Amino acid sequence: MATRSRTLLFLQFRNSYSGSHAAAIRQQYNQQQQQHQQSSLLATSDGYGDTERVGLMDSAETTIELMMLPPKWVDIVDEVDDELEKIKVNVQKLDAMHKKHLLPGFDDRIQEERDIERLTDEITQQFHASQRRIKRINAESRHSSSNQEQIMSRNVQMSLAQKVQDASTLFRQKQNTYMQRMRGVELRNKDIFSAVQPINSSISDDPEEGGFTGAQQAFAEQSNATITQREQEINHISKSIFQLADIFKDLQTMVIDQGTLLDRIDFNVEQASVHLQDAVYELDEGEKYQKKARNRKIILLLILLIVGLFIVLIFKPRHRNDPAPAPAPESEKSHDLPPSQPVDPSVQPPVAPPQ
Amino acid sequence: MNAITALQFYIDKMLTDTPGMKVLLLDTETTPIISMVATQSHLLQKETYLVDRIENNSRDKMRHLKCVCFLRPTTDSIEKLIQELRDPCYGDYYLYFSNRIKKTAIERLAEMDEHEVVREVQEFYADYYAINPDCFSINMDPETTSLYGDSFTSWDGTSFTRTVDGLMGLLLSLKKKPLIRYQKQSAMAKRLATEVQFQIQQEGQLFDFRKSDTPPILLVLDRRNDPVTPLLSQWTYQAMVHELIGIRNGRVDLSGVPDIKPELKEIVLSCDQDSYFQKNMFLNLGDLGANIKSYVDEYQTKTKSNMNIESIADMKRFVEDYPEFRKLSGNVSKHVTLVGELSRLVDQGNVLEVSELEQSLACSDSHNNDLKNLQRLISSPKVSDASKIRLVQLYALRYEKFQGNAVASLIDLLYKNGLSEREISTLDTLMQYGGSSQRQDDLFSNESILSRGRSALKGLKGVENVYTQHQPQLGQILELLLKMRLKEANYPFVEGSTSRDRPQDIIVFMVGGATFEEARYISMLNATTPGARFILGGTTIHNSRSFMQELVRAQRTTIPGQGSDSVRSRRTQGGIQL
Repeated sequence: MATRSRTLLFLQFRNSYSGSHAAAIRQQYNQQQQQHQQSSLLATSDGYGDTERVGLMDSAETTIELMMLPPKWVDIVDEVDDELEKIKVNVQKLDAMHKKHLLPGFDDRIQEERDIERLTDEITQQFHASQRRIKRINAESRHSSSNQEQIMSRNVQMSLAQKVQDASTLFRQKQNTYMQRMRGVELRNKDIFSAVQPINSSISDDPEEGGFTGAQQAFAEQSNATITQREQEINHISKSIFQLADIFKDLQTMVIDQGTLLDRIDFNVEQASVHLQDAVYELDEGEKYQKKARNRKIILLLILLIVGLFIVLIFKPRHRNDPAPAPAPESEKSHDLPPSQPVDPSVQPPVAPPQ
Repeated sequence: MNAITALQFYIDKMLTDTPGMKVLLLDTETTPIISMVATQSHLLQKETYLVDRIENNSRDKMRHLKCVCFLRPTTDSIEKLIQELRDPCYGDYYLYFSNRIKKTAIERLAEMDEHEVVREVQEFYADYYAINPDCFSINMDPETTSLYGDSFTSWDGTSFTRTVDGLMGLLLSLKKKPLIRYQKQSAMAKRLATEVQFQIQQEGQLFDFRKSDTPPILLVLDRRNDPVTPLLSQWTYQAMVHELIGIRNGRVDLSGVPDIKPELKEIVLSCDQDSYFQKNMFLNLGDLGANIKSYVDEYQTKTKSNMNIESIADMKRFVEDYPEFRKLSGNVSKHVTLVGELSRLVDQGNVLEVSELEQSLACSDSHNNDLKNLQRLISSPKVSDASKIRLVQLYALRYEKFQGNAVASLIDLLYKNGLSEREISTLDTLMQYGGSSQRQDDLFSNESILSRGRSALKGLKGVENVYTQHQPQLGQILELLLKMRLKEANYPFVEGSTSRDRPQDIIVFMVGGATFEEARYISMLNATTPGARFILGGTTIHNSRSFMQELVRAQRTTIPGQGSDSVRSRRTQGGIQL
């Protein structure tokens, strides 16, 4: 698996070129400087201000581009990675505690059990938290418009989901073995009791040795207490397993099925270009529709205009035809009448009297 | 000596050497090279969140990403890379080339790197397609590239450089500095062998590996010496899928299968990622059927145990086994569909009968019987046209020198059964390509009394399986090579370098394409021969279809129309030996 690095050769070439680039730039700068000197000589203005401006302009050319800033969800990746690191540490701690707890001992175990419980809870919570974060990527990336960024965020999601899933599987396995061993301890204890009980009863038949029975009874009660306690612990653990199962199901939808076509690199690359083509096609289509819609709008507007004009044409002239020509004769009449009226009385009276 | 792990090593190295979020840019050739040995989820694990082609001009600017470019140093890719460097989309660039890159190209790249974004320039010699751990190809698709120049004895220029590059890549990636032997009668093999030798000497520093006790051997063979193997029907899993359906870069297109589920339209067959396939790829269809059944049974018991979830413990177990179970269920349906389709195709094309005759033609000497069967099958409507042609081709190859062979009458029979002239003319092409005058070795063991006796002895032993009795000629050559009895007169070393030791590492390269039958043979040989390791490569991996396609393409591009003419003339004259 031989390899050969060509970096040095490349850098050599680049340096020689960038050397000539730099020389070119320097030359340019010198010329500028000379011009400035000339202008400053001519204007005899303060040279400091000029150089300062030159400096500012230079730095403006090399400002950091805004493109350098990663999208928001990139931070989530780090967060999840941190969380996973913490989970790993916690799981290791828990494992050590489990081992210690399973060892037979005489001292008080309640504190230990509480610790285990607390840690288990914490880990489960951490898993929940990372799951929520992974989901957030989806929401965050929806804002970004670019196609590639979306592909990328999806890939990031997948890989994180895979990581979390692996970690949770490991955790579940640990829990499981612990639980089985706890059961084993419990069973052993039960065996001891079943062995103890008959002796107990046989002994309690004997009134002379009542004191002994009392001690035995106390022991039995204590054992009962431990049994219920264990029971609780086991329930607790299975609860946390259930919670994990939920997370697991959720993540399962995000993880790639290994060994299928979806896991092929070339397939994904092809798909991306297909998507891109689709997108271009859809854009074109969209533009077409938009154009069409625009045309339609214009047509609709024109039709409306025509209809409107028609209405105007139908109503307005009638308005003018009916009331306008109608009143026109009337007005003519009325125009005629008033002069005739004064005429009429003048005419009629002479007509009437003869009748 | 494992082609797949060698390539995986390169990929892992280039992705882990650049920490952080990154994008991987590939070109038309490196995409399938990588796809065949690595998966998307593997890349994701290495924080490679985006994979794209360098040809894609509409990439978004994401300066917060690092960019790993893995490209073949072709002029095309370099041009594209220069464009990319002029207007970089990403923050830092780590350039990896799949072969030796010219100094002038490095100089041009350096010149164009005005933004000084390039951090690393490396050569990683992953320049070939790894199919099996002991089988690789240069992937020259006969549909798009022509292997032959003006005739069957000369290379096409670009194909030649590609092949040399591929072989150099293999040697470098496996760290082998071999002694090279070639098939004497083949001009193409000779040219390839001398060129590789020349290049090795040119790159003396690169090939400065730790000396092994016995030098590895690179044996360059020519397909012309054995045109029979790619024509035979296959019965082992991998070979059969390739023969009947076709494997392209580890992908199998099942969209032609009736009533196929949408998720199985295209499937992946990789011996690296699919352990079930790895176990069964060399089994014949019968054993495969039995294995598939037990696989399904295993699946069923798992489903049953998953069906009855009654207690918390069951549920827990279910959740735990679920990913494994899901994977299993996907794999089971994949293989069941594939094997189902294979057996459907076998039934449909009457392949059992055809194959029996093929094997008989290839392996035993029974002219009258074979001819009778052949005539019967040609008249049968159940046999596909392609199979009919193939049978006549085999017959013509086999009984080329036999007095009173019936090739002409068989051609007439083909015409009568409605085969087109274009199809029948392939017979002539094949005879020009691989007729006995073109072959170096005694392919059918019928040329000398000694070999006849040997084959008769073999016949006495009887055969286990009628359908898989054929052994590729490659087998004999390798056997002789291992016994140190491969004649230097026939398989000379390049430039007189010789070795007296029994070789340990043997790389076989088949100009004109290898086959999966040979790949299987090599794999068996690897398993059964202690102290020797083999790896097989070819310009491509052929099935009968692609093999004939390549020949016809060469014929068409070089001497147009000649093939069909000669068949027609022969037909009108009637009864002249081919």
